[in-house]
Amino acid sequence: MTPMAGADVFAMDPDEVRKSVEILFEIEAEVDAQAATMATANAEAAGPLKDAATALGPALEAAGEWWQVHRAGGFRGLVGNTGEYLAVCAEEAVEVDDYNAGTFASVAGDRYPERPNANASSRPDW
Amino acid sequence: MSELTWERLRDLDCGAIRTLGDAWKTYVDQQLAHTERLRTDVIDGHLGTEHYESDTATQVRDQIAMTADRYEDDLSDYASTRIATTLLEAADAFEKEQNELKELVPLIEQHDFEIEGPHTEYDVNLSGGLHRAILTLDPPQWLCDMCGVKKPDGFWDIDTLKVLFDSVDLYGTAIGLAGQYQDWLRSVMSRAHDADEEAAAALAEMRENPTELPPPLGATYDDLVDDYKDSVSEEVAGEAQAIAEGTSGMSPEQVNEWWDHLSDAERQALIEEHPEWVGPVDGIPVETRDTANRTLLDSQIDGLGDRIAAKEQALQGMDPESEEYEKAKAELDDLKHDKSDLTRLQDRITDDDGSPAASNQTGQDYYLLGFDTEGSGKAVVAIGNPDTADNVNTYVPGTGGSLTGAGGGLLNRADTMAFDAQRLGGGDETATVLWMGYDAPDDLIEATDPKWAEGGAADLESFTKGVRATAEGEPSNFTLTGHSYGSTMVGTAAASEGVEADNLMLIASPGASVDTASALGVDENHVWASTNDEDAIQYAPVHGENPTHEEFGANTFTSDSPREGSDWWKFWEGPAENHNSYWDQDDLNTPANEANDISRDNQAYVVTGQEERVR
Amino acid sequence: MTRLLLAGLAALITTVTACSPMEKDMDTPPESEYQQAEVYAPAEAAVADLVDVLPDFPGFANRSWGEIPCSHNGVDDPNYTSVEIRYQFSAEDSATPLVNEEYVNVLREHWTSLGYQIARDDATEGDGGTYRDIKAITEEGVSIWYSAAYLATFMVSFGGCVPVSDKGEIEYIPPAGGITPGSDGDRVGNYFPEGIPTSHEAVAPFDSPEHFDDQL
Repeated sequence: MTPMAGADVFAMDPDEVRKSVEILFEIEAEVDAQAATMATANAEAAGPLKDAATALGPALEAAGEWWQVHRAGGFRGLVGNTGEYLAVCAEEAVEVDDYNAGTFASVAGDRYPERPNANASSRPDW
Repeated sequence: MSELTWERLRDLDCGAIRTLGDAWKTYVDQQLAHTERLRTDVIDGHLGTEHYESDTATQVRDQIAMTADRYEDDLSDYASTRIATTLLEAADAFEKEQNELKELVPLIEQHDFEIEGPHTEYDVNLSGGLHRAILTLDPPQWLCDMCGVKKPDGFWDIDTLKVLFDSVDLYGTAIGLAGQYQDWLRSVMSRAHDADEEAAAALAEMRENPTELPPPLGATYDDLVDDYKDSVSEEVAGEAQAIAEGTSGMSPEQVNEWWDHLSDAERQALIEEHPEWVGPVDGIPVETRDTANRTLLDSQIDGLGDRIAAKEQALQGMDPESEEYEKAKAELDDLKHDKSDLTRLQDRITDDDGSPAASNQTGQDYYLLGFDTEGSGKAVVAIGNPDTADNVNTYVPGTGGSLTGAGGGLLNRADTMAFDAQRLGGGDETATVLWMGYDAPDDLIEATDPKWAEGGAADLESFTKGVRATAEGEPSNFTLTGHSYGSTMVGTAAASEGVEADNLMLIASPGASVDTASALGVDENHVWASTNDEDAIQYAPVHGENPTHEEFGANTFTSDSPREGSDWWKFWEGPAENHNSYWDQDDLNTPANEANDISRDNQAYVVTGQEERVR
Repeated sequence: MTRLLLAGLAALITTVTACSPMEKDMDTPPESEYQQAEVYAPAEAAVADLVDVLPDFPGFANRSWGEIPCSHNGVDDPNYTSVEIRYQFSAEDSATPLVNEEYVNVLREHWTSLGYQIARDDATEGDGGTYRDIKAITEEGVSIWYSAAYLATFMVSFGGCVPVSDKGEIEYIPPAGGITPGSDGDRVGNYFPEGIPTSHEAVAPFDSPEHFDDQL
């Protein structure tokens, strides 16, 4: 672990932080895919309930979408955001005080080729 | 708004709804693996302090932990408690009513009746064919059997003439049967609509006021994260308040899941700081409710004492002849009455040293599950813990029931029921609940109005679901016993909302809101009715068919009529007094063979699952 | 049906409306011969009498004083109550042939010999065995019901519906049948918030007075 210059107490092992980043991105992707699968199953089941003119049908469909977008989606976004933040820390090996929407994209480079512009909407101040 | 029709309910794939509910539960478990991985592999692993240490590192770990906490709460509160449980409860409720339809619709078709009208108010009418058959003196065999006439063989013989003369009876019988099926169908659809709308409300309310998410790391993080932490600390209180005020849309089962998911500290804080959000709530365990309600009771009695003192002081400065004085005096009397009622209840369920008292009849502890001084007042008191009992008997009193009675005669009667269940129960524990949880009619004139029962139906439904939700171990054998208008209360809740009970017992009933036991949503083999032969109520079935009549289709048991008029010529007294005599021992005037101990035994046998002993 | 319905309603409703010449009668409960405080002694004495009659008496496990509400005009009247004295054997003793069966036979014979009318004498069968019930009303008007069930119990009442007495007016009567006064088995403490009197010169629990005149 290399003590970083310019910090009172600051120590970081960039490789370990990158491993954290990879896990965060994996979780982000899995949560996204699993929420989509769940939402699809939910919508499929809501269909016949809507056809049957139940009150439950539309409420279920809306609940499934809401879950996917706002709660699972919210979690996914936060996990991804934290991963990107840590990725910037690991790449620059400094404390990141002014992290914003463009920061990750600027350092993603070759290490995260799929991500520079992906998920940008979930970054702060986008 | 549920617009489910009977045909659509019949054809609904409840298995698919249940499968989806199970899928959501599985999904929750799957997602919890992610938060677990965040904690073990990231926070305590690669991002541990040995690899990453600074103020920022601590903040990032906190952020990840906060994100995992939030998601776990979301998974519990929304994906599991709200969505999955709603689906599983809805599947069960729809399937139960679907099974009723599978029994009912063939009967309607076999009898050549037709279902007509809008889905909100189905009619079951005689088909044109059946009309013609009766008019042409060719009634179907089932109708001839019901009326005790021989089916005409096509010739103008004596049988044909008999049918001609009995055609009014034939019509009346057919219409009566159609009316029973109509009651049954309407009740099935009422409960299905109720379940549908409750399920939809639970999901809709979920989206109304969602909890905030943690802010993302970034420039504004420091400004936002404290607000988020504040909102988290207030989250449980907000949920508890919404549940208590009935705006959460959650069922008692969902409330129970929510309660289980709280930490010990959160539960304790709610009990101590907001007992009003704990004590009355169906779905919270009985012991906890009792603790909270006793705190509330103490505080309300103290509060009433303060208000009485203030009011008495105010009266001293008023002109005793003034209208203002009269009004203040009436308010003072009301306050004193409320305080007296609550104090009586408190004395009854509390030992001299302030600890919870046990029934002196059974030795079982009293549990206070709710009370209210509004109107005639309400109180729900259990003798024995319904969460752990083998049998639960809930006694719903009738006309004249009030908070005053709940601390006195009504609880005495419930104590006797508890005593009888213990005496005859074979060692199984029976919890007996006095459910004075509705605004009962004050007198027999008010008791002709169904509005009191309709007003309490949802609360009784909720109470029964709460008993099921908080039960530990195997579900109890659960009986709802309604006396007098209380039986109308039980019947109305069972038919319109649905109740989670194994047995219904309708005693001295002026009607259960329907004409057939089949409409009550409980296996009619477990619907019991009894009215003694002197009770005047048998002549006043103002809320549907007399449940003791064969046509109603309930089991009946013997109850005697121990009360006599005070003088031979006071013919009206016996029938009125025998309306409430179902737990009486002998009066001095009681004929030696007509004490009501047999009714008490029969009730206890039903409650303790010993129907073979019922006479 | 309509006529019956109206007749029924009339029977119930006229009792609560004050608009007929019978108003006074209907608004006033029937007079009672006794007050609540007066009905315990005869009932307790009746139990004490029986203990002498029962062979190999194993002792009661507990006694309690129950109350059942009384009604007037079809609605419970808080000013009246009906008292029931309850003496119970333990579950273990209740399961013995002596308590479950022989005592029923003894009581039948005893009551018949005294000329009492047996008001109830029946039995039911179930998983828990045979439950037997026998009941008689003494010539003094004390109703004694013996239920030989899971918990064999004597339930004794006297006086029917009586005006409620203040708790302070109700006199402590030591229990019959081997229950120690004030013990856990003596479940009447709620009537004596100041505590069960320990130096009470009570009616001897196993002796019954010849008559109740001086106690009523």
